[in-house]
Amino acid sequence: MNPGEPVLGELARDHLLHPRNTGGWPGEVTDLPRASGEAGSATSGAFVRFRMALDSGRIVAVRYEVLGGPSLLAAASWLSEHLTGKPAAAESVPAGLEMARTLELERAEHGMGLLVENAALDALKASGEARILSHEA
Amino acid sequence: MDKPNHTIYLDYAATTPADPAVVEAMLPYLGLGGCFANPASISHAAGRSAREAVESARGHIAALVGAQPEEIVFTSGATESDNLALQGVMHCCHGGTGHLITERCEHKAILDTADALEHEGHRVTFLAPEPDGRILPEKLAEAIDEDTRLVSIMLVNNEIGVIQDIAALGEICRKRGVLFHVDAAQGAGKVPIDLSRLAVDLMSFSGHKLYGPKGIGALYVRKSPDVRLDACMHGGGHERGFRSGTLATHQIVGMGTAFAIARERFDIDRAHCAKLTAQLRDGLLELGGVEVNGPDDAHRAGHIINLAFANVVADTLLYFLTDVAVSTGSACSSSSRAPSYVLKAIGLSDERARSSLRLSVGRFTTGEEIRYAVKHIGEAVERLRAIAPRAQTV
Repeated sequence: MNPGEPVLGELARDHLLHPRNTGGWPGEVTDLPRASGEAGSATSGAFVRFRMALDSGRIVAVRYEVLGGPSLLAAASWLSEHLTGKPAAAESVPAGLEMARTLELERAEHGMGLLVENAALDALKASGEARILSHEA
Repeated sequence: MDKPNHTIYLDYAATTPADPAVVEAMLPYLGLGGCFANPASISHAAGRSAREAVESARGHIAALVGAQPEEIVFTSGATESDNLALQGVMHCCHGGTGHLITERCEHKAILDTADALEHEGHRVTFLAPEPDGRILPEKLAEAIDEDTRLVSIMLVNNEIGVIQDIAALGEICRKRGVLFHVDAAQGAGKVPIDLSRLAVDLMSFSGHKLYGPKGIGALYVRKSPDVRLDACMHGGGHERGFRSGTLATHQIVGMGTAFAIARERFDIDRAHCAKLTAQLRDGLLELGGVEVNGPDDAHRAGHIINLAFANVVADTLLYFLTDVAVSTGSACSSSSRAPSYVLKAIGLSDERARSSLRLSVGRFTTGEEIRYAVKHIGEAVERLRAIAPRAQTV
């Protein structure tokens, strides 16, 4: 491990090394409407884009693209799993800090939780489904 | 290709395993019944035997680099050697403050010491390297002024492997009456060094970068013309008064043996490393989206290669390299993921610097290991690229 490299907890490490919801869309969602949202930038070293397949007000499948450190990849994978099957509403997206704590990210990495939260909310806004964002402030 | 039953070590620029012959040579100098006596205790035979071993090692180190044995001062490692050289010269005799010149890609042992000297009131100039990492002699000449006391430029960079033109840089210093220090921790035994012909006044060496033990290094201090510097450590006047403290006989014997082996195997090791590094580079270039950072082969030490992998953050890649030990070569800040200062100094973008790995091979690396490493790294890169944003380039 290099100096400064984040120490990952078991859950985060599992998501990092075995990222969920990767690859192509499952066949059953091929024709469903999709929403996409992103946060961060590649030049800053942390970028994430969420894509969601929606059906009858629910998120039926999630895919994501990530360029960033281990914590960001782990957070994106965790959130993709968390959101699948949830209502397509802002309330379905946990606060970034809550995600960071769930994944036991180091304090310096808590921003990665906020980044995936923002990307997911951006996707939901794009879908026209977002409601009052209770934890956005 | 089967998974090996050991981690493939491709981080020889960070440290090397001690050569088995080094370990064997050290053992008799540790325990009861061995030659454990204090080499300064010349009042008895045991002490004199230890002293002989130390002087023999000093001779081996001097022989590898074309120095006289009495010009070799033992330290705890290259970091201490660098500190002794920089602080020793800047604090010595002149009184007041002076001007130090170094460059932006130096090891932290130089940069942090230069910062400390700057805080004391000395003036420091950090030269900017060319895109391949080299320092142009004319840039150095321009930077020297009447207050310049010392120039410190490394021989081989530890991240990109660039070899500096020490001969030309040294001549400029000599003509201008300025002392010249070279950190050769990464270069000794890897590129030719002949201090009898070079205008170098001080040179730092490390034991553990050349198959010797950790915790031992040396500083070459030219005797003719005599270089004067203040000691950093006091208490007994050992090592010509430059570095007090009981000499670590077993460590010194280990370093001496390592340097003797390096001298014997110089051409073999050099050719071996260059061949494996080329194999590694060519194999990984086939992935596509891979670029070499820094100098071309003609200006790079054969054991180091620095590669950028488009659409990959190297810190993340490291987690997937379970069977291969490599490094990003950067002191990352976990929150900002600050890219390598060396790669930034040669003009690379943050994105490209973050995507870069340093790979370094050594005497014990095999072609089979390189073949497996190429496959393993390639698979990890492809896994990360599969979830990377589309249309992103380094």
